[in-house]
Amino acid sequence: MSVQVAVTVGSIVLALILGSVLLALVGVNPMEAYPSVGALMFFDQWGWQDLFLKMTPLLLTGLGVAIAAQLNLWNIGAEGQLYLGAIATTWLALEFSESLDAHFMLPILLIGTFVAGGMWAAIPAGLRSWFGVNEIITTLLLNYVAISLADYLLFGAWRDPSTLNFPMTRSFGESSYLPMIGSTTVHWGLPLGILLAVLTWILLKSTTIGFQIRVAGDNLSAADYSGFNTKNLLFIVLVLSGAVAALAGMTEVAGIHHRLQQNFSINYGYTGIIVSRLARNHPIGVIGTAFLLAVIFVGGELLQVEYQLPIAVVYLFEGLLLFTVIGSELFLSYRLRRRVAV
Amino acid sequence: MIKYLLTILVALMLWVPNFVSAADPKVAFIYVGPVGDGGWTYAHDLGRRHLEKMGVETTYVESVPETDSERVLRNLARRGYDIIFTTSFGYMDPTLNVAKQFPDTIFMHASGFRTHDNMGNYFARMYQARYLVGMVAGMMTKSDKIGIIGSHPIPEIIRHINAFTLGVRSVNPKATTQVVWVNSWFDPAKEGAAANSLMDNGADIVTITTDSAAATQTAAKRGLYSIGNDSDMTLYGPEAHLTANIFNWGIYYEHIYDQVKNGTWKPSSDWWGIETGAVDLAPFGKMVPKNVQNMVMAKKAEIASGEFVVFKGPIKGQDGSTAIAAGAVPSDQDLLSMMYYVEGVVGDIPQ
Repeated sequence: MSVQVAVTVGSIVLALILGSVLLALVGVNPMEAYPSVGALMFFDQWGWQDLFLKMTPLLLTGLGVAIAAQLNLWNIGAEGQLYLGAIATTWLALEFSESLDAHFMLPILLIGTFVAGGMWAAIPAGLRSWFGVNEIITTLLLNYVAISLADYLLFGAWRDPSTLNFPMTRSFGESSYLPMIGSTTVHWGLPLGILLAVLTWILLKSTTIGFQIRVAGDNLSAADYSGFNTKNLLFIVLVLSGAVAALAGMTEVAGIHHRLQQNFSINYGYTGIIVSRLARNHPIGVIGTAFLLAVIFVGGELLQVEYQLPIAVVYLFEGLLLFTVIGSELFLSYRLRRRVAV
Repeated sequence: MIKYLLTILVALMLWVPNFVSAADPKVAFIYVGPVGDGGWTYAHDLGRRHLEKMGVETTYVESVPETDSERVLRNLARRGYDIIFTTSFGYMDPTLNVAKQFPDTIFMHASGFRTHDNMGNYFARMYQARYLVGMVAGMMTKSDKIGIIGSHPIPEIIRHINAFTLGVRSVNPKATTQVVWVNSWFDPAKEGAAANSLMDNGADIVTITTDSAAATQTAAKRGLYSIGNDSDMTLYGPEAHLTANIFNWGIYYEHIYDQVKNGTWKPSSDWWGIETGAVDLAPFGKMVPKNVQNMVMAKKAEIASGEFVVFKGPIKGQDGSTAIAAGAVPSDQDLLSMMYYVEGVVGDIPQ
């Protein structure tokens, strides 16, 4: 376990070093850029708030993907599940936020989003469980359907006439706003995400079904022989994965924007795959890697402002990180040995 | 004695910067697309570079989605930028929200309509340049069908489509314009596909209300013509690019900067016309005959002097009824809320 952590940390450092070469190539001094951007992020309360705000959806989608990965399932559909979560949240908020108060509204949003995401993932889950259809393709393609569904609603029934034909809904009633932590701009989505990550880990470690999932994840046919209902396990895990990922849609829409509009998700669903992969699909590790990717995003944005660099710099860092971490898996599969004289 | 002098020195060091920084405003820009779009955002960035050449300290953040803009604006305000230009209609409410929280920063929102004590909005009368490039299209078309790629069906874009169509039909009453909507400000892939579908439908000239140069590239590939938008797009298809209706934001940004520096800035809704130079035409392509060029330049002078008004009746609506009565000139407010097509436009406005 500690080898894994060491290798991960090592690859992160390598990515930062490679990134500094990149910065130098575009004329920015990394010895000056890293500390100044770091100071802006970590020694400034606003930097922390930005980091937590960006971390929340990544944590939720990353956790969703990690849950699916316990059974070696690839949930590429976090983006679509997130959209379904946002659609569910929007519908509930538009219908009920004026008439119900927060004590009812927030649990309703939570349950509704969870169900919507679960239902959306149930389609590829059922196809995989009972017909063996590869979930990579089904989850991926349903993303486009989900986004089109959101567009259909935004351009049609839900369009707010006061916005002069722009595709966005009207603002939600205040009872649907996610509460903020203290006087900051950070909403309770982050503690929710961390709680879910911990619950997932406990589920896996300490419950019967968690044990079954772990066995099936290691060897599906062995689990089958042991009498576990692997078809049910596959289904449940993928549905749960979608339900959790959908919460990212709820936190963005009910925590920050308070309305549904186009492009509210900046690839959170797909970045969740990176988050989970970097953490080697460990539910607790996902908390750390979600934070790391938030650092790259916010740091990249600060680099843009401070040094007039193009937005591509953010994508490059993300790519470098993925490259080094996946590349470093070589060191987990093989070990360096000194040749022993025969 | 030394302690006394030191105290005065420290006090001066703390006091003087108040004057130094107050005299030199720092300016920030947020863009909805990448600077490399060669269109809308590129035009704003040219304006920003105009300020930089003057010695002003500027910065920018590109490709900021509307949904993330409030956070980015707050960061820029916190970092001490004195003037922040927010260059997309969708930034309107986020700009207002942040303006309320940072009363010492000046926010200028492009193409919107909200103001506040420390927030103004601005645009330029692009529709005047649109009329002129419409004249070029009307005279250069052989199929009498001209395609327009629509971005979002908001009044600003409807107005531009109308002005363009009026220009086309002022020199070619048989010609029609057809609109295809891509529902995005910037999407080169969709814009290219839209351009192709318009050209498949018979259009031999395509113009755009979007931000990228994809249509010009597509037209060049097919040996047809295009008219650029917001910036000079000749580089993307020299054989296709007739001209473009462009912005010259540098002049306006310098004006606002001077006002803020001198302390004479007041919130307002600026709408600068072609006589200021904020909108203009790009240089004509070699394929545009001299007589066409002269005619258009003469019209430009008439608009600049006020002798000719683009939206002055009689103007017929799409169904043939009178939209603007003879001799009537709609107010700016009417122009800003225009949501009907004039005669000659083919298609419906998405509701």
